[in-house]
Order: sequence, then structure tokens, then C-alpha cells
Amino acid sequence: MSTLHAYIATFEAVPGMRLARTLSKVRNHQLFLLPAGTELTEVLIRQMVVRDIHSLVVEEPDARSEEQREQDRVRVEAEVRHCFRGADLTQPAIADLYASVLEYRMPHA
Amino acid sequence: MTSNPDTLRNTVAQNLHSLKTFPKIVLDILDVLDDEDANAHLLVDLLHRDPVLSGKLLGMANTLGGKPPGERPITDVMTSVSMLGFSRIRSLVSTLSLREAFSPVMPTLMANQFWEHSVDVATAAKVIAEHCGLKSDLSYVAGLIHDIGILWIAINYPAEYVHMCAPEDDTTHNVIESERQWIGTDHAEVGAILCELWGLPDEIRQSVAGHHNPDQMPPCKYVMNVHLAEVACNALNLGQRPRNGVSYFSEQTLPLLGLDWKQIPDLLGEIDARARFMRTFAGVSSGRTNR
Repeated sequence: MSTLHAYIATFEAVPGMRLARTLSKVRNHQLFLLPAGTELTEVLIRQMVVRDIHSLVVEEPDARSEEQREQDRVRVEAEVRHCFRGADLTQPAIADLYASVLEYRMPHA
Repeated sequence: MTSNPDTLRNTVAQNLHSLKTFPKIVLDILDVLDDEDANAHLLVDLLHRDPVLSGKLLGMANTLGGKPPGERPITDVMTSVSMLGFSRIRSLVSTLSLREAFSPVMPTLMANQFWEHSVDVATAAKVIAEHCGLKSDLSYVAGLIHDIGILWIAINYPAEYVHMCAPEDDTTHNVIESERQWIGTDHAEVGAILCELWGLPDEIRQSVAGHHNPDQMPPCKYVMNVHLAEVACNALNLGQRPRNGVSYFSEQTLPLLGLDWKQIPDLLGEIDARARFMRTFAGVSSGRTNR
């Protein structure tokens, strides 16, 4: 089964989730480092909360069919376009922002 | 209403109603800015002086803090602060204090949408601040009160306020122009005067003044931060508010903040996740999320 990368708040993490990206935080001159692929445990999640780590990127199984993925892509693109309905997409900053929102939201679609 | 600055300032000052006092605990938090641990005891002291806030935190630590089943309930503030994280607590205390101070004057529906959007923008401003080396607590408070002028307008001009609001699905509506047309000023200008009357730091006052039109302000990273925060929340459709929509984004934003477009998709992901959590944490969530 393929996987997605999902952004979650630390309090949404549950044991058994796997980090999709390396997590690091320096605090009081001490480095807290969890490599990509680490499986989260209750203790690790508590350590992240105490160290004021607010969010992480985890792997999420993607059981959707190709047809469902295509439907999700169309839906997300329509939602993003709706949010930019009052904007001039020919302006470079607006166009870059539009592309960035799509880039973030499309992998989940 | 006149657009003469002195007269406008007097009008705002004379019609403060319940907006007269800015919560002292938020000012105290701004005084101990962003110090990770050194001020933990000071934060706990502040919380001890507010039994309502302390009670809420204890409840949250017991439900959210990851206390293993079978362990005794957390009953002291210091432990609850440790379990929830200092940075989150500072944001939460600011949010709850401001809501408690200002919500009684707001109609319920307005209050829900106002605070949900305010917490989203505050969280986004804090995320951006952390990436840009800005003061994150100060940025959070700036985001939290960026629209505070709307509250003053709704209280003092209730009839006009109804006309200023855009139809729910119309993002081409320019709220600043509409406010100026109806009452001769706008919520950004009024909000900046409120910040001045409350004695808030100048970075916050400028951010409130310039969040819609940052290019009309002297270059300031804090102004651009709140501008980007609000635009990001609208672009992500946070809270799925019908009025969410992007109409303007300053070209100067990323260069002034020292950000690169390559960083923005990840930044948006972090904002989305943390705002979703903070809305729930602060009790302002409508339950509508992208996830």
C-alpha cells in the first residue's frame, strides 16, 4: 500500500505512527533528534510535547483507488480555486501562493 | 465619523465600553517574551493568581497531556504547564484571557467566527515567527487581535456594521473600503488606536494597522508576518468560513521576512496542523477542517 505524508499537531500523534521527516529541536543546548522512519511511542510523544514541538509529518497509509485519488484531486483543485476566486492569478505573488497551496494540499488528494 | 486622526482617536477613546481594559495577564506574558524555561515559574505564578484559568489548564492537562491510564490526576499548575508545554500555555492563556475580556459584548455567532479566525491567524503568525526569528508570543498576540477594530465598530455602529459585512460568498467585497464608506474609518485604523490606548508594543500596533495594506506602512517584519498569516489562513480555507478568500498579497512579504517560496508548502502544512489543534485547545473550533 502506498503512503501519504500528513502534517499533524503533536497532540494528534498516537503510538505506532511513523515519522515521515526527521524531527529535531535544540533546547537548553540539548539536541532532541528523531530520524525519519522512527515509530512513535507514548514516551516519545510526551517528550515532544514537553519540548514544545508543535507539529510533525507522519506517514499515513493510502488505501484509495486511483479513481478515488483523481476525484480527490479534482475536489481539492476546485476548493483552492474557490479560495482564490477574488484574486488576480496573473500577479506573480498570487500565482506563487496559489501554486504553494496546491502543492501542499495535492499530496493529500 | 471624521478621518482627522486626533478626532478619531478621541472618538475611539470615548467609546471603549468593555474594551477599556486589556487583560493584564497578556501584558505580563508579553513582558516575559519567548523565554523557554527561565520564566516558567513566573508563568505559573501568573496562573496561580487566576483560579479560573488554572482550573481550565488542569482539566486540559488531564485530558490532553498524555497522562497514562491509572496514573493519579494532575492537581498542580506547574505539572500541568510542564505536560502541555510552556509555549502552548502562553498562547492558550492569551487566547482565553482575551476571549473572557471581550466576548461578553459580542453576539454569539459573531464571537464564534471572530475567535476561530483570530486563533487561526495568531497560530499562523506564531509559526511564521518561529521560521523567521521573530518574537513568537508577540506575533501570536498581534494575530489574535488583528481584527479587534471590527469589535469596536460592531459595538458602536451596530446598524452600519450589518451593511459593511460582505455577502457570505463574496470575496471581491473590500471590507476596508466598505467600512470607510459607512463610518469614515476602518477596523485596521480603529484597532491600531485601541493598541495605542492599551499601551501595547509598537510592533503589535503596526501589525494591526497594516495587516490589509502592508505596503502603505514603513517596512516591518511584524506587519508582513500578520499579513502573510491572514492570507495563508484564507488560502487554506481554515475554519471553512464562507468569507475565506484571497484577494491581495503583497509582493514584498516573502523578501522582507527572508522566506523563500520553496518553504511555503511546508509552512502551510504546519499552519494547517497547528491551527487545527489550537482551535480545539482554545475551545473555538467550529469542527470544520481540511483533514
